[in-house]
Amino acid sequence: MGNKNKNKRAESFLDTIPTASIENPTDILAQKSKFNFAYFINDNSGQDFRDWTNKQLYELLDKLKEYSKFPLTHWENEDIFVKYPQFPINSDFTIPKSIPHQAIWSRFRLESDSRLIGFVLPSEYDNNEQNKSNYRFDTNTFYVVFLDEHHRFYITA
Amino acid sequence: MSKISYIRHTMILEFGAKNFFSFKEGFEVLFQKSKNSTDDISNIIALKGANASGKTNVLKVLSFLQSFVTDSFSNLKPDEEIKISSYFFNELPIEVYIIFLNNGIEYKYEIILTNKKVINEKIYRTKKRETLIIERSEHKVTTIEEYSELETININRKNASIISIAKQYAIKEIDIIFNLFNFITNVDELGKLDNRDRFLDYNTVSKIYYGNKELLNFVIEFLKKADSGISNIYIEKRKEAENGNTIYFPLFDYNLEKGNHYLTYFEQSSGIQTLYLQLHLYLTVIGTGSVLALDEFDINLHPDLLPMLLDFFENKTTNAKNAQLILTTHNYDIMDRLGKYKTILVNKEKSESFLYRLDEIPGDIIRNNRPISPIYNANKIGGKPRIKI
Repeated sequence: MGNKNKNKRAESFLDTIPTASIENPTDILAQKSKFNFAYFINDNSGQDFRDWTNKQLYELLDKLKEYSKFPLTHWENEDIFVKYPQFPINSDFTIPKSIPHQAIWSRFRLESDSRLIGFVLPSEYDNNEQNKSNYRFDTNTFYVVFLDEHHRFYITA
Repeated sequence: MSKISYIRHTMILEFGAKNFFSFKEGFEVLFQKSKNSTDDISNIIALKGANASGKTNVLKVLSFLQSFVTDSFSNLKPDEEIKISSYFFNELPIEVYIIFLNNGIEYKYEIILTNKKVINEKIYRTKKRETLIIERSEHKVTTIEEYSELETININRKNASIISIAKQYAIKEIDIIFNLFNFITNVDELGKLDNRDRFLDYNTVSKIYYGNKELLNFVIEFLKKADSGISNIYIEKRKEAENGNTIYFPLFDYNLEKGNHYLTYFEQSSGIQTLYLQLHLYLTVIGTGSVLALDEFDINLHPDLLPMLLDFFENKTTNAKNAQLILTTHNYDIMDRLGKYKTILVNKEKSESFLYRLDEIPGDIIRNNRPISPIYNANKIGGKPRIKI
């Protein structure tokens, strides 16, 4: 009988079962970069979310969606993400006291002159447990600190 | 007849049906790991699914084939309806098939019928390649030379199987095929048979134990192992005053500190009653290498006992003749124990049943060496009731 016993309901049911899996050899979920907003500051020279237009905010979220598809190193190679050797000297911004001194200041390029300013953790902390908390540091997370609409964090000219 | 001729080395490879009770489209139950491979044939298949999903209807294939193929000539009157239903009683023909492996040779039986008449029956044999050995189309029979005696018989029964008719005409060549259809099951065309009425009443079972001490000892040893507190079972008989019938009944011996105490069957828990009624089936099937199809196999039984029952079939030493068990259950642990190749889920959508074995599930949701029940319970693979609260 063989194929005569095909059952369309069984086939279409089995077809609804997700085949995506984090255990798939080609899956890269663990590599994807993360964005954290816990250190966000709006009282420096940057803007608050409410200062940005809806269009600017949509574009920001769209960028974050794209950027979170790959690890930070990928965007670093693409020159979209840059780590600074130190907090820029020529800047409208000042170092906030609330940011850990180990922070490596860095930025993501957004639309035109806009930048997303924040920091990452130094590589020597990667995967180390913090204070026996059972949680580990992650150097693939970008901690967002400032919205920099007019490129005033790292002034080049 | 030498004793050896009773020993069957027959296994079911697969069976299925179409337009059969709640299955509008086809379904297949495979005992072999993959189709067309007889290297790894399972001794157990478990069917799981919500209530009314169609699990019992799967077992009805075996009960139908057993009674129809072996007994339809004598069991049905010439104009009686065949005990089978199409999907919601539609007019289209029903299709049923089964494939056996018998001493290295495959036999396939296919039938197309309505509940009024047989339209077509085909029997194939595969040694090296598949040969159609017997075909019956309504009243006409064609066979290969070896079975040519069948062509001489008058097929005057539209509601009987060619195998049953040939057996009636004492055509010896049919025996090897006839004997394949040796199943014990607690379902019939109407569903699960109740322990108390038709399937196994305690008087009939007690009579079996009375005449077979090996079976009785097997039950006693099992109940001891199962921590029932029962130390022995005595089968008594007495003559009924009103009709002179002999009644057989058990006395369960409990070895207490202050001597022995006896309890009757009716004073036993439903679990012990079930084991008492069913255990001889296990030993009989294991002893003959046949097939046991049990609906709600775990009903009344503690989950811890179930592995002991599955062991009878999975243990190659006790099950030397490759007896097979197909069961339906609501128990969760069984799927973890049996794994993806031996567990079938039965679902229903828009009043149509369908089924799939767990190895058909795409992707890596089901992985080797990991329990299946948590995935099942999270309703990721179907086969669970969708209860609206």
